[in-house]
Formats: sequence, C-alpha cells, structure tokens
Amino acid sequence: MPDPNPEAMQMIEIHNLKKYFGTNEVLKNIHFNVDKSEVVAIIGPSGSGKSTLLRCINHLEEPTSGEIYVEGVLLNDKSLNKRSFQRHLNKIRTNVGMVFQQFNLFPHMTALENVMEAPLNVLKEAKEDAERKARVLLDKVGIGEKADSYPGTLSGGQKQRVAIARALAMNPDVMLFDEATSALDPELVGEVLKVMENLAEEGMTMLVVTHEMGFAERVADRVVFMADGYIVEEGPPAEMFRNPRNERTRKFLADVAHV
Amino acid sequence: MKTLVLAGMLVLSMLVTALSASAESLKTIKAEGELSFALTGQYPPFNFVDEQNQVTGFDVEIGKEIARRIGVKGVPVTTAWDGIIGGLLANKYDLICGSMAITPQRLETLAFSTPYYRSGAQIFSHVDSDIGSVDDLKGKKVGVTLGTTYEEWVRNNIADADVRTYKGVPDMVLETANGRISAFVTDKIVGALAIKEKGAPLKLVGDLLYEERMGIAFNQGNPELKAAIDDALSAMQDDGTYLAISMKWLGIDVR
Amino acid sequence: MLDWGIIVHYFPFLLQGTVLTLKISVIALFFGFLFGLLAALLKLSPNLLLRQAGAFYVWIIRSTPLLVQLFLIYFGLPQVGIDLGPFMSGVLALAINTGAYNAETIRGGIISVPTGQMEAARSLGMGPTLAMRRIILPQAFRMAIPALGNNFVILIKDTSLVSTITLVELTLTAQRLIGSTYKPFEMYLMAAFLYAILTTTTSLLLGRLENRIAVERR
Repeated sequence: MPDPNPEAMQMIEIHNLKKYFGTNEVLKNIHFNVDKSEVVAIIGPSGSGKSTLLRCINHLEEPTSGEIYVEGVLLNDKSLNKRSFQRHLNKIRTNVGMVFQQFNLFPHMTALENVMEAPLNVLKEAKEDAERKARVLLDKVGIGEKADSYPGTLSGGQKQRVAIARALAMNPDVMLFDEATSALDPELVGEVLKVMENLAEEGMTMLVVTHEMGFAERVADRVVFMADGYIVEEGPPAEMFRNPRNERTRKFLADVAHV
Repeated sequence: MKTLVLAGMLVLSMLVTALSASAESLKTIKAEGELSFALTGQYPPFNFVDEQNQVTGFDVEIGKEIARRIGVKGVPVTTAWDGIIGGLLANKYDLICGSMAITPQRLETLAFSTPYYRSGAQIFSHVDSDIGSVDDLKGKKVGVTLGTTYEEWVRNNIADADVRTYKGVPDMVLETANGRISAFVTDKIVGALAIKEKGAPLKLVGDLLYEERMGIAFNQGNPELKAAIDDALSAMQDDGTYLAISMKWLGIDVR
Repeated sequence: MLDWGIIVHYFPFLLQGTVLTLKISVIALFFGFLFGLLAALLKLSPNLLLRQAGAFYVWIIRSTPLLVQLFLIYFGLPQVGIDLGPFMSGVLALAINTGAYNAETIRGGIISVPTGQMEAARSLGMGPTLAMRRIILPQAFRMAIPALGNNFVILIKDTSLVSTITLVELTLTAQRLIGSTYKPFEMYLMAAFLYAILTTTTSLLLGRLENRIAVERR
C-alpha cells in the first residue's frame, strides 16, 4: 500500500461516488476534490447526502461504487483482504479527524483521557508525551481547566471542544466536521465556531457540513451546495451567497435566511 | 489443522481412559497410598457424622482397618445412596463400604467382597401406631431410602403401598415421628439404634422381613483387590479386631 | 423451640462448609464471567459459524437444568474417558451454567452502547478489537452490573447443588449433621443464615461499585 504523499496537491479526490441505502440512492455520481489547506463548507437541505458524503471519506459508510483517494491513496481498495484492509483503514483514519454532531465522547473517561486515548493506544505514544500534548490541545480549545472532568459534567459546547481536541491529538491532515454545532444550544454555538475558525487560519484542511451560513461565508474558501444526492453548485462564498446561479440554491438560501 | 486437533483430542481421551481404568486397581491404590470408600454418612451407627463433624461408625472403622492392613490410608467419602453406584462406576472412589447388601442384580455390574456383616430388613412404625404386621401396611405411606434393597422389596411385596423415597434413615425417623408416613423399612440394627440412642418414638413391627448379607463393593475385574480385601476381613475376624469394632458400635456381634 | 446448644456447638462446622461454598462460588464466578464474555462476543461476531456456536451454547445451557448438567459432567464424562474430580466437576458445571446467563447479560450491555461510540473510536484509527476492549466493553459492563450481580447471587445459591456430588459444602455439611443429630430445623436455619450472609455481602459490594461508577459519570 503506498504511503500518503504529503506533496500531493489534492488532499481528497472523489470519482464517480455512488451510495445506496437499500434501494435508496443517497449519493449520485459525486465528483469532488479538496486541495491542501482548503476549507470547504458543504450546505444543503437535510437528506441531501452531505453527511453521507463526509462519512464516506473515512469509510464510516462504505461507498457502493466509485473511488475515494485520501492524500493520493485509494481508500476503498477492493484488492486488499479483510485483515490488510482493516490496517489500511486504521492508517488512513489516523490522518483524517472527525467531529460528530452528537460529540460521541467516551463517557467513562475524563476529558484528558478522551484526548489521550488514541495517541496512547493507536500511535503508541509515551504517556508523558501524550499527556503533555493533550493538555496543550485542551488549552488551545479553551477548556484546559476541565481536563479532569467527565463528559457528563460538561456543557454541549465544552464537549464538542473536547471532541475537536481529541481529533487533533492524532495530528490529522484533514478534519471532517459533521454538523458539529447542530446539537448545541444557540448560545454555545459561537465558542465551537471560534475554535474551528482558528483551526482554519492555521491552515488545516477542513470539510465542514454546516447550517451556519455566516460561518461558511466568513471562513470557507469554497461552498458546495448539495441536494438529492447531487452537488448542485459550488464556488467561492461571495459568489454562492450573493449570486447563486442555480434556482434550487437560491431557494435554499432564501429559506435559510428566513429562519 | 482440524484433523490434527481431532487426533490430539482422541489421543488425550484414550490416555485419560487408560489412566482412569486402572484407577481402582490394587497397584494404583498402593501407589497413591490411599483407599477411598464411599458411604452416605447418614446411616448411624454404621456410618454417620459425629459431634466433631467427623465421619465415623462401624463401616468407617471396617474400611479404615482394611486400608491399614493393605498398607494405605483409608479415606471415607460421603455421597447420596442413589448415586453411590454411579460414582463407583465413574471411579470417583475405590470401594463402597457403606452397608450395601449383596444382591444378584448388583452382582451384574459390581464385584463384592465376602460378606462383612449380616442383618435384615425390619419395619418400624410410630410407638402409638396400630400397625402390627406387614399386612397392616396395605395402602399406607411407607418410607424407604432411594435405591436400597428395601425399596425394591416394599414395591414388590406390599400391595398398594404408597412408597415414599428418602435420602437417608434420619429423614424417615423424623417423618414417622411427626406422622407424615405410617412406617418405614430399613436395617434392623440401624432402626433399633435410633430408638435406643436418640429416643426416637418408634417400635419394631413383626419379625425380620428377610435376611441380608452386606459386602464391600468395587469395580469388576480386580481379582487382586478382592483377594486383598477378603484377606484383611478374615484376618481381622481371626484376631478379634472385628469383634471389638462390632461391639463398640452395635453392642452385638453382627458377623 | 430451638435447641441453642446444638446451634452453638455445630455452627463452627457449618462455617467450615461455608468456606468451601465460598471457594466454589468465587472460582465459578470468575470462569463464568470469562465464559459469558466469550459467548457474548461470539454471538455478536460477524462470522456466522461463531455466532451460531455462541447461540448454541447459550441455548443448550439455558434449556436444561443445572443438576442434569452437573451429573452429566460428574457421572457421565468418565464414561467417555474424562474423569474430573468432584471439585473440578462442580466448579466447571457452575461456571458453564452461569456463563450462559452472563452471556446474555453482557451481550445486552454491549448492544446498549450507542453506535456513535464505535464510530468515534474507529474514526480515531482504533481497530475493532481495540475499540471493543477500550471503549465498548467498559461501558457495557457498567450497564450490565445490576444484572450480572443478580446472576452472581443466583450462582452462590446454586452451589448448594454440588452437595449431590460428595462436596461437603454448606448444604451437605448440614445434611450430614442432621443424620446424627436429628435436628433439621436448627441445621437448615444455620445454613440459610450463612447463605443469606454470602449473598447479601455480594449484593452490597456490587451496589457500592455501582454507586462509584454513577458518581464518576455524573
């Protein structure tokens, strides 16, 4: 299996991606690339396939057909046997961070332990190194003082920031955000978006499925509008928000603006 | 791989079989230095547990004396009567030295020593009961220990008897005393001792139903073991040891 | 009514029987837990054959009486050349039996862990085994503790059945002493009292464990 090529221009390349749930076609022939350090916001009505697309990129959903390359390496490599495919997946996943709508923090571990878990047991880092790094990351997302708290005692915004720190602890080359602020009370959304914005400024490659149009317009390099399993339209945020070409995009943005 | 595992299991099981098949032979008993013999521990005064929670009684002393004369240590094992033959067949112990009557049926599956005591089956009922003979037991509740010769006899000889089976004699003594059964059948010496020693409110009904000869049981195909046990038995009868044990526990010579 | 002299004199002997009961319980509990975990994982395996093996074990054990399983091992196995002593037979039968019940309990715990937990673990590059061990099982056990505790208590009470295979544990100690004392009420009362002490202590210890976890998670 070829090693990820850090010199590859394309962080993610997707060709002819199709995904069925039973007979329901959720993704219909998606072509999609993401450059290094690019921030892409994916917007669209619910059921448009944007979360499924994101989950295909680290194989939480198995594509029905098509190819996905992460840093030049074919993710859904059918030539591998079951065992080597698991190893292959684990390796790629260490380079692809994911943040979930429902946080999915490990409830039986403190915030610090959540962040240290994968570096210790997957990357086999030394305990002192992992802990030092975890504390730096928790400080970075602004909750260093909650390091020893269990997730059950944290607010939604704090949980999501721990989850971001947990993903960053693997030193990923790309971060996937799957509606990271949708489950939060409105007053907690800002603190999470701020962390994501800082990350974008540092040059992290990011794919962000979101309903936060202000964030998309301010932070994204490119906005992708999806509907019914297609990428309907994409472009720079200024163009997409002020001057959408497609009728469906226009209607969606008008609906969102009126909420 | 699968065949290999299967073959391995086969070899292993044959090995275990070979080991266990010889488990009760005289040679292995001597090698282990231990002779284990089974009894219920609920058959006073032949075998029971004393105030110090130790298994003792006539059978126990006879068993230990045999072991001593073979040159090994005698170890009594208490087990339920209805499983006592199964345990011997499964080689869980070397002998049954627990007042087992020699019967043609048992001789089909087991081997016996020469008889080591004689006794007989006796009916016991409550002192206040009006039962006076076997005939009065028709249709009555009669207790026996499960798997004994008494059970078989009652089932075959008392018409319409409501046979109740128990794990041991003490259970039947208690049941007769509190009126749940009309009578029970067991060894005459055992019942008589319960009346004498424990003051049980029982009486002997009629004469002996039949006489029985008790033997020490072991698995078939062990002529050396049989010879060793029989020699020990006759030697202890000759030198007075047997009489001493008999008088100590039973107050009579039961030879 | 009670003969207190009998109780005072024989209580130490029943305590000796309790020691063997406790020993059997603890060993059977340990292996019963292992068997349960193994069977639960088999039943959740992606491999059909393993799944069926797990299901068969749980089915055959739960649909037959423990006493029959015990006799099968103690009296039956020597016939095919496997001769385990009474202690080994008793512990094995109890462990196999309680294992089948633990399997269902643990399986229930595993499937009650939200799927997002596995997804989060996998997205961090953890393999299925590592994720099961580090993330899913600790949460599954926490949820299964009350039901597992119930199984443990049943196991302790079920050890009385090994009195039928010559093990002089608490119940057989009482039975044997009744043979010479003719005092079933006193003997069985003492046995019942000692069983109650064992089971209640177990329940209390598990209750404390449960409380500690509740504090940790809140």
